[in-house]
Amino acid sequence: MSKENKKYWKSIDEYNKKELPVSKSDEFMEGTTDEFDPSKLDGLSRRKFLALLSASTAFAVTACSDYHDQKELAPYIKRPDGLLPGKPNYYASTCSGCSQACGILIKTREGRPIKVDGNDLHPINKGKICATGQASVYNLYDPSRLQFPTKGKNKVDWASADSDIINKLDKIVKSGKKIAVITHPINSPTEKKLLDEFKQRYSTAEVYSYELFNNCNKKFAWFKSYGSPEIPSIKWDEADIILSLESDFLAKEANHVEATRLFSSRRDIMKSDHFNRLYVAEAGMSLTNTNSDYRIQVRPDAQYDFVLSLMSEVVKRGASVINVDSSVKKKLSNYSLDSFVTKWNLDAIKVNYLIDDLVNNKGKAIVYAGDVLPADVHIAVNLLNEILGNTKLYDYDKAYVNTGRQAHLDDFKVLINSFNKSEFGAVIHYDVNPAFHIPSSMNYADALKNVGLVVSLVESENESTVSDTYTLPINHAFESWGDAQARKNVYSLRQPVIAPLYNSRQREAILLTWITSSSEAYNDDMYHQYLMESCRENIYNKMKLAVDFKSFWFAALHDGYVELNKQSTKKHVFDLTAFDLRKHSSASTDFGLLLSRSYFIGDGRFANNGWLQEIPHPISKAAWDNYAAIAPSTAKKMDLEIGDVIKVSVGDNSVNLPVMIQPGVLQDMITVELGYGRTVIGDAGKDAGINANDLLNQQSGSSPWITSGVSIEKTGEEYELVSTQEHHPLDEDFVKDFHLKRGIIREATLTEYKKNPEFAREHDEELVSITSEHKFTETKWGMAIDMNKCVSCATCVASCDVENNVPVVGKDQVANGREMHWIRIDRYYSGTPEDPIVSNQPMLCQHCDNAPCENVCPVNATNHSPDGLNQMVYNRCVGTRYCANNCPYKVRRFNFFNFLDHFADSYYENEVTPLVYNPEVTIRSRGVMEKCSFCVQKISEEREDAIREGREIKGENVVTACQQACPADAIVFGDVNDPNSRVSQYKKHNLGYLVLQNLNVRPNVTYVAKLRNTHSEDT
Amino acid sequence: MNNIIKKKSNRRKFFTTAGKSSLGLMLMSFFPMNIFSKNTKVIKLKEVHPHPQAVKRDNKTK
Repeated sequence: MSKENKKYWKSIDEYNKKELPVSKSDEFMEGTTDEFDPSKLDGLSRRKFLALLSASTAFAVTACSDYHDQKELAPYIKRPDGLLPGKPNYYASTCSGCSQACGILIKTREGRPIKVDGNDLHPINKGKICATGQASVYNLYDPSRLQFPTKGKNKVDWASADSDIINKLDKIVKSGKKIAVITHPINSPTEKKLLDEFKQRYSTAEVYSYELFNNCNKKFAWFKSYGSPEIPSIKWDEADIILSLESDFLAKEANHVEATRLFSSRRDIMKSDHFNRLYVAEAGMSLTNTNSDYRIQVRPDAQYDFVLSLMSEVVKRGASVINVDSSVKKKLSNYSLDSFVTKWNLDAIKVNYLIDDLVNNKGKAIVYAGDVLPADVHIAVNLLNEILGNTKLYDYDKAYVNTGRQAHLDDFKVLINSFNKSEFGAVIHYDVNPAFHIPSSMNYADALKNVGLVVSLVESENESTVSDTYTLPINHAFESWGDAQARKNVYSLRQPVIAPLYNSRQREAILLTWITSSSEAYNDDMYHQYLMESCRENIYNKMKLAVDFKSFWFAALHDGYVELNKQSTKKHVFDLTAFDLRKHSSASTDFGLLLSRSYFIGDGRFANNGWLQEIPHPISKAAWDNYAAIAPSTAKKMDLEIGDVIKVSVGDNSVNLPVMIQPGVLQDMITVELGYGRTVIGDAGKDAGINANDLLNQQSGSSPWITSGVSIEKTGEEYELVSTQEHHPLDEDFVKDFHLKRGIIREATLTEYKKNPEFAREHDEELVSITSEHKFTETKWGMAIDMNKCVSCATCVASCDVENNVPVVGKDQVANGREMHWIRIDRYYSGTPEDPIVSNQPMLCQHCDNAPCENVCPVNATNHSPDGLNQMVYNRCVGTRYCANNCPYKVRRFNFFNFLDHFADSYYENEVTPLVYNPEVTIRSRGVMEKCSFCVQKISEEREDAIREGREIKGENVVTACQQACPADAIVFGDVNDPNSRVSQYKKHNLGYLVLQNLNVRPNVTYVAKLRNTHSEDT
Repeated sequence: MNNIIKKKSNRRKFFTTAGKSSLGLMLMSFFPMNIFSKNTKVIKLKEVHPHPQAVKRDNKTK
């Protein structure tokens, strides 16, 4: 048959030329043309119309000349020294997020910092920092940073500002009026020296250091107990028993990064099953509490009685290692542990366990009081530790350096009074914001109006700059020289890694200029020289090294710190006269209030950092807001629901706060975090949360963070609180203990584990497959997460956000479940709402071998790599979201908007914010799915290095951002096909299990079941 | 295509439709609707310079 004659047919009917379906001949099906006559239709058919439309569109597109990609590509013709395009540089420096001065390593690309991690060489934090430190890089690129000096609202130049200020300061001193320099506690020896010189130059100058949350009570107690303000650090890794009294030592106090590392090292099942045991006695539900083995609910105002009751029981049992003075015994005779337990309705079994453990582990236990507790509790705890011989766990070699006396609310009352009497001619806000921190009822801002000269040296505008005469912009820490000595044995250095972005100056250099009394004295290098001289005098000369100073200086900058010679420590003898023998008043049973600082935004200084605002609270999983956390029983009694607004009154001051029903909070207690409700701040932080600083206890001699006799009343209003844990909740009865029934969380006690080592895997089903399993013969990437070590601090979340350019979406999008974090910490409760057990689990893409998301993508945008990664090809994705629908772990995040582009009034569209992006990671557009990639950019880097060096890829060379950041070393990543790798050890371990294993998706993240170190009688 | 070119009435209809569509789309492109480009705003990023006195680490940290 010739080609021309060849016929094609699709069916026998067609071949036999039977009657064809009507649809083949008629354009319109029967019935559709009843209402019109097809013959009278325009000759232009639907198909032709659409063709013409698309042709016109093409003409219009050609006509449009607004081509979006107009950015310049400019090669480095004159490349700066030491800078290779495409290769990062690393610089050691010191974090300035808080007073702990952790060593950091700043990663820069093309001259701009893009990531901050811990300095691996630093002896205190050892390569780890907290979530705030991780996200601090964003503050460098904060679009609301001040760009030039101003006088009132007008721009001025530095020279005229300096000469005017110097002139005015001289006149103020001559007139006999005082100058107040208000700072945060200074841990820099050089800065201390500078302030002393400032006081010498301006003889009426007084320095007031303060911190919204400080350890003054502890310091005072230590000084009274031992005659020295140097508080030793605690050897957490040597403690078998820890009793924490209202102390969130794993998240908020002292150097919690170091504490987390040391605490978690005693929860490492790979090394030993001799776990520590943590008792937490507190009224709220803190992060440390969620990691406890036993919880005891004690009001903060009853802690003193609790400590004395414990002490009384220890002495009664004859377990004291020291001779207890008869006066002490007499006082202790008024206390009884049994009576305390009965009075406060505590669990007698738990308290008995506690006292037995403390007595049986003398010298290997520690009782640790929180900074919020009053000084007499700390003194009592010091004595208890002496009695139990626990002072062996005090490390004086790494003692905290005393930052000097700090101003309390009483001191500010006196100061404000002096302002009002015009006794002060000048106030210098040295990178502080007292107008926000001090309760508004003290009228600090109004008092400033009586001061002739108010100068603020700040990075951004704040509540205190409103009354300024001059507002002078200062460099960010990454643009500054500096030093810090938070611990006795380490002197840390800070170096600038980027030239100042704006017309700002180093704050110390500003003071130096005023000391020299000439505005022309300033030069960009002046503080650098001053710092070097100070270091030479105070550090180098005392160390008597063989190398010259220049070599020492460069080595110190390279390392980021100098480890100081061990100083001889005098014996610390407890002064019994510190122990108050007078009768102590009992705690009240009224409503109590406990204030604490925010986990991520500190005292409010990081409120404009969108990443930190959006990281969910470790316990409530709320974001962008603070609230009044109350117990479920209190909520039931007062008929309150989440979001109801209550008026919390402390004396004459009151604040309206939304309610968060928090399981585990003691009945009739309210806990509130401060640092929110900033009003003079950039777009991200404005009106995020509520300013509750008015609730600080202004009573003289009390702890400002604890108040009894608080009143609460319903206002009838509602406030929307957003929480990432509550998206799409199923019916409550259905999901009760779901995480246990489905094997998502697998836990046991140490005793149960020893009896049944296979408990974590015994219910795993044998999985069958109708296809043969794909064999990964080369490198196969996998991860293990040890839930014994994870404390749920969320540092991994912050690190991942920064590394992978994860966008901030804002409160309203979080309310819709559209937060973009690639890793989240799921929080589950079990037990009862009054006494819950909290289980935390970091959840990220599991990179399943049988990924259910890969099969359903219509455009193959998600597929599997030969080395076991579930890949995401962003430019193929068309946004059907079927993959997210199919993912059983719900780890896929969809870009509902161009979050990093012109979203939210173009928040990101400015000249600095895009500088924070990591160039190694794609910026995702709207309509595209994203998820954890196991830091594929780091895997690629290792692959390139291996090829260049002619070797195999080494799994241990790849460190994901979450793994790098985790202070507890709970995350392990590597090659599961390497039998010697840590991740394969975890995978083989009998405690290693897979979440939702029975779905047969074959995830590549192994979780290590949590073991609680409870007594063998408990199950 | 033959249908459009040969028949006069169809030719007229084609050019009328094409012309109307193009005019409409050109009008629409004047509005700030970002139809064809994801971002019409060109942002000039701030120039950054590494600090000349910073001392960098020799080896990359792991």
